[in-house]
Amino acid sequence: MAETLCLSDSDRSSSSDQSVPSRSNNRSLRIAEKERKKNEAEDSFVLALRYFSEGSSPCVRVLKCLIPASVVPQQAVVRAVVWLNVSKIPISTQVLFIKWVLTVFDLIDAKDQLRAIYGFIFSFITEENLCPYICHLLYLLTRKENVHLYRVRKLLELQSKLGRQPFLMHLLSLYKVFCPELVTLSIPSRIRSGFKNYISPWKSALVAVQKSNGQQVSSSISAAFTIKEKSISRKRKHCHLDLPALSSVLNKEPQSEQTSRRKMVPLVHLSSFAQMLKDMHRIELPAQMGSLLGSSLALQYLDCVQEESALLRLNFWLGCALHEEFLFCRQTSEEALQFLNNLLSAQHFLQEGFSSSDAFLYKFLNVWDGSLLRPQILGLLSNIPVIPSTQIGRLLFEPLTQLFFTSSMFFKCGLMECLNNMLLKWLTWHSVYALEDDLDISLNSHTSINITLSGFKDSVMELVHFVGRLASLGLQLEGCNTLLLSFILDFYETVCDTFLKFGLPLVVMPPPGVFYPALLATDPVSVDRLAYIMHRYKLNLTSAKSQEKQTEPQQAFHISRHTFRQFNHYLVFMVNCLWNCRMFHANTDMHVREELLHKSNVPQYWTRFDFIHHPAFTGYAVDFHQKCWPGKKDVDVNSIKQSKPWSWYLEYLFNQGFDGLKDFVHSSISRQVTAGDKLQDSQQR
Amino acid sequence: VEPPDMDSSGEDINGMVEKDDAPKGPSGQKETSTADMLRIKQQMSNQCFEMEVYLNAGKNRRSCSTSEAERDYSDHISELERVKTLQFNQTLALHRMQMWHAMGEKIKTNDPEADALKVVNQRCMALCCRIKQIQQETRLLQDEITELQKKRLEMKRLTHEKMKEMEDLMSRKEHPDTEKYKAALEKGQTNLEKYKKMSIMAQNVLRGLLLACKINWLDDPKLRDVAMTLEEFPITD
Repeated sequence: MAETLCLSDSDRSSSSDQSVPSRSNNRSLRIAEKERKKNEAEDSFVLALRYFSEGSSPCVRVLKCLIPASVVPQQAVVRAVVWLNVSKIPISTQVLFIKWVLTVFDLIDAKDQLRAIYGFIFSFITEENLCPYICHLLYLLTRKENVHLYRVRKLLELQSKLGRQPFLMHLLSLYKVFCPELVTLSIPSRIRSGFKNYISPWKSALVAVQKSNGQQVSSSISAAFTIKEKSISRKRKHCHLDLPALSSVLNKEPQSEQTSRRKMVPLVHLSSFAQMLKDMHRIELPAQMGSLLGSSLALQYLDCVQEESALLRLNFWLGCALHEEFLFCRQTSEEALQFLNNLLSAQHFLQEGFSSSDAFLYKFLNVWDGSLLRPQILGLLSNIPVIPSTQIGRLLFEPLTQLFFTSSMFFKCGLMECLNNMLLKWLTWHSVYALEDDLDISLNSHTSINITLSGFKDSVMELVHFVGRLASLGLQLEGCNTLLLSFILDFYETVCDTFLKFGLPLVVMPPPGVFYPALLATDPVSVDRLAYIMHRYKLNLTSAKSQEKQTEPQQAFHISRHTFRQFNHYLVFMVNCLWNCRMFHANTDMHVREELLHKSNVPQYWTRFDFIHHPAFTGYAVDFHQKCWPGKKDVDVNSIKQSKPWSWYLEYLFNQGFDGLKDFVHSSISRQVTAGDKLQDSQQR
Repeated sequence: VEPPDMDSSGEDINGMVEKDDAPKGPSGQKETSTADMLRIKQQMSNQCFEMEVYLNAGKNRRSCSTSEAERDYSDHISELERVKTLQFNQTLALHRMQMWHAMGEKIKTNDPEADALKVVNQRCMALCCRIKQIQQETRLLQDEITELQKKRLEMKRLTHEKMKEMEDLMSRKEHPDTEKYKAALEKGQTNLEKYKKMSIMAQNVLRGLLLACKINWLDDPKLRDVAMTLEEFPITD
């Protein structure tokens, strides 16, 4: 069989070209592969890799066509590593081989032998051409036992020779996580650039060939407690976006006598929560950290134990997968949607995001078109932890502003909802991890960024102001579209209750660009919601004020005069407009010149936005008039203004479900009926 | 031989006409050229000075630091947006007032169009009622969800606290007979460290040998068994 391979290769002109293998080459190998399947797996790979020891140029082509039928036996890889040292193989071929190992890493059936020859693999690190790839491979294999001082010294030596290369820094940071006392070097907490993505095109080609061959990889996910859908058919095409199967490091099934003596229990063997609790301190994490995302049991364990190396590796894998699929590939597949949904479920379960997905999102927002996988991306965005106010503009606001103003109305609504969810999550986090002013608390278990109460308040304020600006301009662009207004009012329903519902000492009023369009809305639902929001603001402000008086001056939180003034301004305007028939008055934001108002030919323009004439309520006024005076042919809604009909009318309105209006009117307006049916108001400040 | 600073029209570079009556003898030439050069030098320095003054004046006129400009820029933008919003709101109010006044007038006329309007109005009222019901439900549900999420997050926080406490306790836990065997334990540990270092070194040396001599250890079963253990230390920490 090896001869047939040799013949077919030497038939063609075997100049040392490094081009992608031709289709005819593929075909001949496929025939050979079918035969290979009959033989033992190891023999076939060994035969193919035997070209290694000969170092001939067909070796390169063979290597490039080497596509695993199902798994790659690790003995073959071990043998090849030995040959790397023993035979005279050209450097380019060595590099190619290591790249091949990295590409098929997830398909290698077990990793224990590879870990046993860790030192041998490490020795290749001194070869400058191989160094980046060896570092990557070591990163995937390293455990605590492999970290020794002489290895750290070697890496530092290399660093002084090659500079602070990212691949060296990555490996050193992993060593530091395992043995911080051995690595005293300071490593920047966010190494954004991971290992360079050189295997992606190869990997996609590999996947494409596997798909066209119709190869199936059976997955063995632990059945219990999975949060992935059970309806996934057995015919799963292997793809780098599929969550890898949860497996143990060793391939062999443990015999019953051995299990009791074995020290560590692989995670895949757990089938229930109770079992996990029993063996909590003996659990061994799998080699492929990405597989944890598919099982809620595994996530639970990871969250409890907070093992830094595991999180580091999980974030690394996640970052690579996201970068590969979305930042390098042209088309995204059906699997991308599934993958993101799984990631979202995992984040939802853990109630926090992953640092690698956050970093990916910041980059992705700059190149996103706003419609690709919109619900998933917006979902991931809402899980971002609090960003310090110094960076929030650059990281979040700038790309989002660009997207917002160039997108459809539905995107605007979606983004509003996303930012509302983000705010809700930030506030929930705050109410649980109650921050204090002089206390620095780290944002979540995964990052080392700390934040104080004032820093948190700054970030929240920045977010609210940002949304206020987007909302104002968005409403102007979309002509006060009701759907958009509804999402905006959702946001302000969250904002108005930051103090009472979440314990955050902060009150931020909506901007004029949101308040007035809502008050002048043509649908009663929006006006009712605005009334509800104003009512809640009032409760929050009065509660804050009373608290300020009760507690000591240091603890009390101080609301600025400006906020009170703004609230009062809005409140007075709203009452004047709806109740006192004093619209378009001077000294308000709605001051319009007399001449212009006369030109409009509308009589009594100052009453045109009260409860009877307001665009949102005029229909109700007409309906009420007909019900109240069914005999009257002429509809004169002004007759509702008399004292008794007025109260009936208000009752009638409130009974339509407008609880917001009811609360607002009862709390902000107290009626004093004088002779002549003049309605007065008094507002509480 | 023409003096180097003359162009063909007989003017020197400063636009000054050379004196025709300058003596052209060898010694005379030398004298005039020195005087000329001194004169030219003086002129050039004057011109340079003028240019410098001009440049500085221009610089002062257009001087503006970028950070100042940026601050002004964002201030101007917010002012612009404020005024735009004001104008938009006022226009909105005017338009809506006019529109709904017209509609009100129409409804008063009691003609078929008015009846159609009334039908639409009824439908809107019914829909709004339904919307309010659903919004109420949504609000209650959302509050419930938020409470649940708070509780779960609280659980998570407590779990982490407890795990930390457990770790502290476990690290502090001492064997009951520590005092008795303290000395022996310490001696044992130092020995262990020593032998550990020795074995790691030996493993490293053996590995180095295998690599340097390019030995194919995989094909010899005994050598293979040894080579596969070079990463292990049987007694873990």
